[in-house]
Amino acid sequence: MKNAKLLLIDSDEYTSSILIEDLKQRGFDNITRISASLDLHQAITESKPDVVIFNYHFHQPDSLINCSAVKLIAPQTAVMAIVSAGPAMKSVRAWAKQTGCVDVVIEKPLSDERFFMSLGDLVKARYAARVLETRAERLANLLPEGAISAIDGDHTDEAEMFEAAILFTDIRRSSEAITHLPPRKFFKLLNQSLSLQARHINQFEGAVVKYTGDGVMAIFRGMGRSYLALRCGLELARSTSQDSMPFGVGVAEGLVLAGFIGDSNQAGQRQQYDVIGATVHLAARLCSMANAGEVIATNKINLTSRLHTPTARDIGTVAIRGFDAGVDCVAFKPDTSLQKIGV
Amino acid sequence: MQEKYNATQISKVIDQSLVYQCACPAQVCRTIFELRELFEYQINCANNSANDRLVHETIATATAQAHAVMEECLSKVLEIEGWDSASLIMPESLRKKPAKPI
Repeated sequence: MKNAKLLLIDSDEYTSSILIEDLKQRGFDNITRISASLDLHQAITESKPDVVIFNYHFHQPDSLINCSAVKLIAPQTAVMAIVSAGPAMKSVRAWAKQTGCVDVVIEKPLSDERFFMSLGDLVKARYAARVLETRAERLANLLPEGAISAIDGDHTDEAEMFEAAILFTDIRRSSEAITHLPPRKFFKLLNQSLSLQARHINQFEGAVVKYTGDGVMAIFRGMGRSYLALRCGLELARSTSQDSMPFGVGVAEGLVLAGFIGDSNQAGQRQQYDVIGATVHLAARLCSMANAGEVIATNKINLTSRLHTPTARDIGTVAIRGFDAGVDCVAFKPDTSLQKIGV
Repeated sequence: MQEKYNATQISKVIDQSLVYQCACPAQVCRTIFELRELFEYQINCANNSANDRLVHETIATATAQAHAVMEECLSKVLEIEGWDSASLIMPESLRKKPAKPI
C-alpha cells in the first residue's frame, strides 16, 4: 500500500508541505504535487496516481473543477477532498453528491485517524479495482467480440439472428505434423499460424469467433461483409503462414444465430458464446474441401462480393453433406497454378 | 445571535491550519460553526407545544452564550499566537514551526 501513487493538488505551499511531510512519514513516498490546474493533465498522465488528494481552499470555489477534470482524465482514480469545517464542507459535500467527482470528503483540521484510514481504504479499493481490471482485460481477450457485446447488452439469453459471412480455416495434415514434431514446437508453430490468421481477419474487419484446434472460425458483419470475407480468405490463402502450416479456407454467407449456449445458472456449468446455423456448417464443409492455399466459397458470395481478381474457378454444384440440394461453388488459388480440388 | 466573526473569516482561519495538533484556533472555529448550526436548528425547529418552545428557547439561549464565549476565546487565542486581527493571516512564526505528525 505504501507504494501507492498519490497526486496532491494544493495551491498553498505551507499546507502542501505539511501534508507531503506527513505522508512521507507514513511511508507514502510516491507523491506528486501540483498547485495549479494547468499542470493537472500532464501530472495525471505522467504519474498515473491511485489517489488524488485535493486540498480545497474555501476562497477558491472554482478549484473544484480539478476534481471533475481528474474524473474526466482518469475515471478510475480515487479523489479525496480535504475541506474546512462549516459552510465550505456543506457546499463541497453537496457538489460531490451532485457530480460524483469526489469519493471521500475529509474535514479540516485533519485528524490523524480519519485521514489515514480513509486514504488507506481508497488505496486498497483502487488496488482491488486494478486487479479486477487486469483480470477483466485478460478474460476479454479470451472471448470473441460478439460475446463481449452480448454480455454488455440486455438480452444475453436470447440468440441474435442476422446475415453474416462466415470464414473457416483448417490446417492440412495437422495430425501428421503433431505426431512428427515435438509437441511444444508444434504448439508454437500452430500458435504463430493462428495468431497471424487472426491478425488478417481483424484487418478485414472480421472477428474470430473461436479457434477450432487447428484452424479458426471468423465472422464478418455489416455492409461489405461478402467482399471483406472473401478478400480476407484470399489473403489468408497466400499469406506466409501457409509456409509452415498450410491450410485451406472456406467462405459462405447467409443467416446465422449468435448467442450463449449452456446454462450458467446451474452449478458446475458454464455458458459459451457461439455462432451457429446452416451457413456455419456450409463454410466449415467448404473449408474441409479446400486444398492447402486454396479458398472455396459459395458462388453466391462470389457474385455478391464482385471480386475481379483473382479469377474464380467454377467448380459447379457441389453436394454438401447435410444439405438437401447441391451448392454452386467456386475455388480460388491465388498466386499458384490451379490444382484439382478434392471434393 | 451576535456574530463577531463571519463565516468567511472563520473558514480562513481553519483553512490555514491543516494539522490537528497545530490547529488549536481551527478547533475553536469548528466549534463556533457547530454552535451556529445548533442555534439555527433550534430556531427553526417545530414548536408543537408550549413545552417544545421552552425546550428550543432554552437550548438556543445556552448556545448563544456558548457561542459568545467561544468567539471571545478565538479572539484571545489569535492574539496570543500573533495572528493579524484584520487579515486573519497566520503568523510566519507559526508557519515556520516544524510540522508535527498528524
